[in-house]
Order: sequence, then structure tokens, then C-alpha cells
Amino acid sequence: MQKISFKQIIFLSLLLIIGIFIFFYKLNVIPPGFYVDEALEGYSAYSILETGRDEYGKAFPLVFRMYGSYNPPLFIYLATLPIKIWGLTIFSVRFVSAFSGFVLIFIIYAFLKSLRISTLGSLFFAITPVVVFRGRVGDEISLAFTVFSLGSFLLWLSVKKPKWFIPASFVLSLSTYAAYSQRFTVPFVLFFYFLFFRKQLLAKANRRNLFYAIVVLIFTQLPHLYLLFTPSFLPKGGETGFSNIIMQSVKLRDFLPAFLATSLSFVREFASQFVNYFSPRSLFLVDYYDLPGIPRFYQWMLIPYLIGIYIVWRQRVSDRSKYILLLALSSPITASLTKDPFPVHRAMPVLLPIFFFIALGLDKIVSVKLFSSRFINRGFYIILTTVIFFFSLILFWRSYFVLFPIEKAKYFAYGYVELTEFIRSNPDSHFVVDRARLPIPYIELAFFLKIPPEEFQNSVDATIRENYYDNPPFDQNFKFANIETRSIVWEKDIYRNQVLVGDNLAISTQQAEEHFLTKVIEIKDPLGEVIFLGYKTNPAQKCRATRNISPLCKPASTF
Amino acid sequence: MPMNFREKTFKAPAVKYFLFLLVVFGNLWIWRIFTLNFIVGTIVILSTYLILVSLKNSKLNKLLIICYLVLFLFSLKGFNLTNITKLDKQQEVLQIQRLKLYPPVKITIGTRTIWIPAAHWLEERPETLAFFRLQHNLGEVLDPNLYFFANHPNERVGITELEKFPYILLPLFLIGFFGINFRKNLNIIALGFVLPLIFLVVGNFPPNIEPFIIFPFIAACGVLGVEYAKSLVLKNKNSGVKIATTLVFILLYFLVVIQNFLSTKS
Repeated sequence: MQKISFKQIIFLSLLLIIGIFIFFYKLNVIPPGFYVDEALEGYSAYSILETGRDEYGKAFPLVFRMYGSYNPPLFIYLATLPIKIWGLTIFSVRFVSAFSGFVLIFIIYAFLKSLRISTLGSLFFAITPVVVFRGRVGDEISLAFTVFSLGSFLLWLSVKKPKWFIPASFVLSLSTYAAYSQRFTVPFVLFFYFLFFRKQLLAKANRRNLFYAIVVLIFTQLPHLYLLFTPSFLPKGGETGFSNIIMQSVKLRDFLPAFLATSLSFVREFASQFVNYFSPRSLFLVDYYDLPGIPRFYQWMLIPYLIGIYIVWRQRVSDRSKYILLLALSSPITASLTKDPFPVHRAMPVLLPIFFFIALGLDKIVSVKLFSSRFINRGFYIILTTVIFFFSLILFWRSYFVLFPIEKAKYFAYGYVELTEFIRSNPDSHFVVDRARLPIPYIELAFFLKIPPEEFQNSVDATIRENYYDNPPFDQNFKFANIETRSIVWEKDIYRNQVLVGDNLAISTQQAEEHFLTKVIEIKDPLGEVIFLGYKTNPAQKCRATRNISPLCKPASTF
Repeated sequence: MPMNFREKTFKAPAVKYFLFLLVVFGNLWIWRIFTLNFIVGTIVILSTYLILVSLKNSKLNKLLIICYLVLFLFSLKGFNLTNITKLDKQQEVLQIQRLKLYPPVKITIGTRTIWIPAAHWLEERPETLAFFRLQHNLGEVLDPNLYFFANHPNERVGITELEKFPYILLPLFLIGFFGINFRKNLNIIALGFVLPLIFLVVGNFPPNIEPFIIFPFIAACGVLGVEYAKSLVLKNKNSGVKIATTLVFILLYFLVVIQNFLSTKS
């Protein structure tokens, strides 16, 4: 067992303090609001915890059905633990992500150490915008990245000590249950690993480990094999870039045979997406669309990044460079097959090799002797590192703690806390929440109102749980407690005593005047933009004004 | 070993020149430059050749310096150093909005309180504005997708993007770029890559201006990469494989150029 020096203890303590602060400080209020994916996963975990069944009443599903798609189960099952401890709160749902991000700092530390790269990189990794941002969102992405990184670390250890290949296979296989994209990324990583290190892998002394690793892989993939031929295994096929490829190939078909036109278009589309994941622009120079005023990585990291790539290329025959290269080649493949430019939630694994390039570059920079005196040299780099660290923190504070909570509140489903408080304080009123313009409101309401899972399960179509993995059609209309989430039906809804809830485009002022609606609630985001408007109907006055023209005005109406 | 491949390949002049011509003329960008300005096109090609010669000898060619001086002069159109801290109307609105979002920041030492004007420093100061503008400008030019994929998948609104180089050249460009011995050729890299980059970033050019000053360096790296690939092919003892690989490469190269042309045309 390697001894840890005093300096390392100090450094690890520093990482610990930074990690706790950066991942847990104001976790319940930043990100602002509660994103729909967080609500879906949180309520599913709550439902599992309370009843052993998901929101559709399916007992311990292998994948979770969510608004017409399927999500991997690992995060949801793990989230039951903090929900058990702290109840169904925003903090509980985000805890698993934040804790994963926190643990990841130390995995990166150990990884860098074993790659013989300065562990200084882990300090900057802990405050990298994209890592922190994802680590504080209560969905599966951060957890999946942590499990993937741990698996990659064990896989790297297996290059030198083949016995590590068995736990590496187990953890990588486990990561396929953490994020959908990793079902595809992990096989690519293993394929490239085989390609780059086949001599070690197939060596006679290693065959036993290889055999056990294959057994572990097969055994842990049994749930996926069970689902393989059901629609739940490939629910996001529509997100591939195939439409772009067809569009491009149409331009070529007058001059080139169809097969050639499609092949060339595929190569161009795939290559452009692939390169985009390593483009300095995407990584260091253009604002990250989720966070205002900051790129995915700090701008200054561009310099060590380029130096790092240069080093890897120069030392490409070394195991270390080969391993980083294999990660760089395999990790973006899945995301490159989709149509969106740089969807971080699918491309998290690619951050790992990118970060290794940066760490290698940093390592190289701090090893340059600028002064003959070792003491002055060291002092200079300590001061430089401190200045850069605080400069980065200021940029991060500006973006994440000042601008983000206000500018992006609307996109993080801000306002549901206030809305549900209003609903709770009016238990006798019936609410129709317009879902035509609001993204999946039912789950936010169920989450914040803490609707008992049994009640919710009874409100959904029972046939869904019978054909759970066959992706039965998703009905966006829900009815539970005193709430309905559906489109407002103006011909009927105004003739019933209830509260209509929507945004300012769903219910206009003219409509309110025309139908004698009374505004009962208005919720604005921190920028002052109206998010929710609630209007109470007045059927009596409407009927009087229209001289009972609607059949719904008649007392016998069963509406 | 660095650059060994060049020593081998430069021994066969006909092949060497064919590769040079293939890369330099086998792209849409050079023809766009020619249509914009024939003199610039000629100097750009001459500069590409001189960069290759300079890299071969690890010695900066004086004629190359003159070529770049001329190219810098031709690039001055659109150069606007003063604009670097100016905001457009939309950015001004955003700035005003953001200034209001900051909490009061103070440091208390004993009984003394120092108020820090964080909003002003991070949103208003000319240094901050210049920092973010330079970051944006650098992002515009330091993007392989701009040169090899007509900026796909990050196409800019209102700009007709051109697939400047065929994407088949991208891996070879990278091999060529990272194959350069940076220590030995620092002055050539400074002249051919760093200075043009600084010029384009600081110059604050409108997005429709062609960054042709960067062409010679990209093309030169492309040539080096192709030569490296050729040296790998030459290692194979089977001449049939050599010929087949070369033909397939040339065929694919032209197919990709045709693809670029057709994509751009429509």
C-alpha cells in the first residue's frame, strides 16, 4: 500500500473542502426551479420507495418509462436513499448527482496519479463549469459520468495489472444502467481497448481474467439482453442524425449514385459532429448554452489542452497516450451519431479524455523551469496557480451564482413551487393546467404536491403496466387529486367552476375579458416575465351574458 | 521521429509537387480567394510553398516574411481595433439587465468594510468587454469545423458558409500540425499561425470576411500530413497495395471535393 504524504493530505483536504462547497452549496435553490427530468426521476424514486412500483404501477422496472421514452434505472434506485432520509425534496433528488460529482474529483485525482500526470489537474476539474453544472442537476448524467470514469480508471489499471479487467468490466457494465448513451459508448470503449491493447489482453497469462470478465459482462447485461428486442431498449432512435444525412445526400444524388451520396453524407455528418467535440470553439470559447457567459471549460484551459494533445501525439506509442487516445476516439462516437451539436448529456464521457489533455498540458507547463532557483520556480507556479484558480472561480461565480439563477430560471421550470402552494391552499377548487405550452406539468405538480404514489398509479391507464416495455402510446393528459393537465377546451371549460392555469399565451387578457375570468394567481420568473397565470371561471355570468346559448348552461348538464 | 517522413518524401520531386498541388488547388477556398483577388491568391500559394520550405530547413525564409506583410496589408479591410469594447444594441440591453443582477459584494476586515463593484468590473469595464470579445473572436477562427465542414453543425445566421478544405484533409492536417517540431520552427509557426491568429482576433473583423491569411499554414500542414500518410504507404513492400491505396485516396479526395462543391452550390 502506497503511503500518502503530508502534502497529499493537505491537497486532498483542499479538494474535499472545494468539492463540498462547489457541489452542495445552495443545492436546493440553484439551479433555480426544478427541471422536468429531475421531477420525473425524483417522483419515480419516491414511488419506488413508497410502493415498490413506478408511477405507472410497474414493480421494480428494468428501465423507467418516462413521457413516452425510457430512462435507465440506476439513478432512480439510488435516489430512493436520500429521499428516505430527507423526504421528497429538491435537495434529496439532486443529492445523488452532487455526491457523484464530489466523488468524481477523487476518482480523477487517483486517475491522474496513476497516469503519472500532476494531480493539480483535479483541483481545476473540481471547478470546471460543465462538470459542476451537471453535478448539480438531479438527473442521471453526473452519476453516469462518475461510474463511467471509475470504470475507465479500472480499465487503465488493467493495462498494467490484468486482474483489474474484471472489476473494470463490472463497473463499465454498470454504467450502461446509468445513462442511455452509455449503452453504446461502453461497447465502443471496450472495442478500442481490445484494439489498442490486444496483446496484453490475449496474453496466455491473462486468459483467465479475460474469461471471468466476459462472464461478468454477460451476467450484468442480462437485464439488457432481456429488453433487447423490446421498444424500450432503443427508445431514442429518432434522435440520430439520419435526417441531416438524407438532406445532404439529396443534394448529391443528381451527380453521384445514391449509395455513394448517402455514404459520403454520413461520413461528413458524423465527422463534423465528432470534430465538434474537440473543437477549441465548442470547448473553451463559445458560451455553454445551459450556463450564461461561460464556456464548458475555462478559456485559459485552451493552452494546456493544445499542449496536451501535442504531448499525446508525440508519445503515442506509450501506454498512457494510447489509453487517452482510445478514450478520445471511442467516447464521442455515440453522441456524434445524433443530430444535435454537442449535447452534453450524451457526450459526458468525452470530457474525460479532454480533461486528460488539459491535465497533461498543465503538467507540462508547471514542469518548465523558468528560474534557476527551485524555490523561486516553485513559488512562481504556486502564485500562478492560485491566481488562475481564483480567476476561474470569479468567472464561475458570475455565471453560475449570479446570472444563471435569474436568466435561466424559466428554462428550469421555475414557478411550480409557488403554483403548487396555491393549489394546496385551495383544496376545494378544481384546476386545469394547460399542457399545450408547458413542458410536462403533471410530474412537477405530482412531485411538489407529494401525491401519494398509489393514488397516482390508480389514475393512469392500467394497460400500460401490462405492456410496459412495449412503449404503449403516451397520453399527455393526466387527472389526479383536484388537477387535470390537458389542453384548455374553451367551449367547455368556461362553463365549469374551476381555475384555468397556463402561461400568458395560453390565456390572453382578451380571452379573460370575453369569458369573465378572474385572475387569481400570477407567477413571474426572476426577470419579471410571467410564467403562470391562473384564472377562475365564472360560468354563471358567462351563461347570463350569452343568454344560456351553450347547452352546458342548462342545469341538467352533466359536464 | 519528428519530421523524418519529410526527408524521405522530398526526395521524389514529382510526387512532392503533385501532393502540394493536390492540397493547394484541391479545395474550394483557394478558388474563392482567386475570384476575390487574384494577387492575394497567388501570394497565398507562394506563402504555402515557402512555409513548407522553411519548415524543411527549420529556417524562416525572408521572402515568406514579405509575403505575409503583403497578406497583412490586404487583410486590413474590415480591421477595427476600436470596436473591441463596443456593444451592439442587443448586447447593451443584456449588459444593463445583468448589472442589476449582482448582489452587493463586500469584504469586512475588522471594523472596515470594503465594497467591491463586482457588477461594474465583470460587466462594464473595457478590459472585461475586450476579454469576452476576444474570446468570441478567437472562437470564430479557432474552429476546425469552420475550415473543414462549412461550420457545420454550428452554422451562423445570415452567413453563407463555405467548406474551405475537403474534410478528408482534416486528420492529415492534424498529423501535419502536431508533427511539426515546435521548438525548432517557433518563428515559422509564429509568422504563419500565431500572428495571423492574433491579427484575426484583435482585428475584430465582421464574420463575412474571409480569414485567408490563415490559408497558407493550414494548407502547409495538410501537405505535411499527406506526405506522412504517403511515407506510411511506402513502408508497405507490396507495390499493388501502394498503388491501390494511393488511387483510393486520390479518388476519395476528389469525391469529397465534389461533395463540397455540390453542397455549397445548392
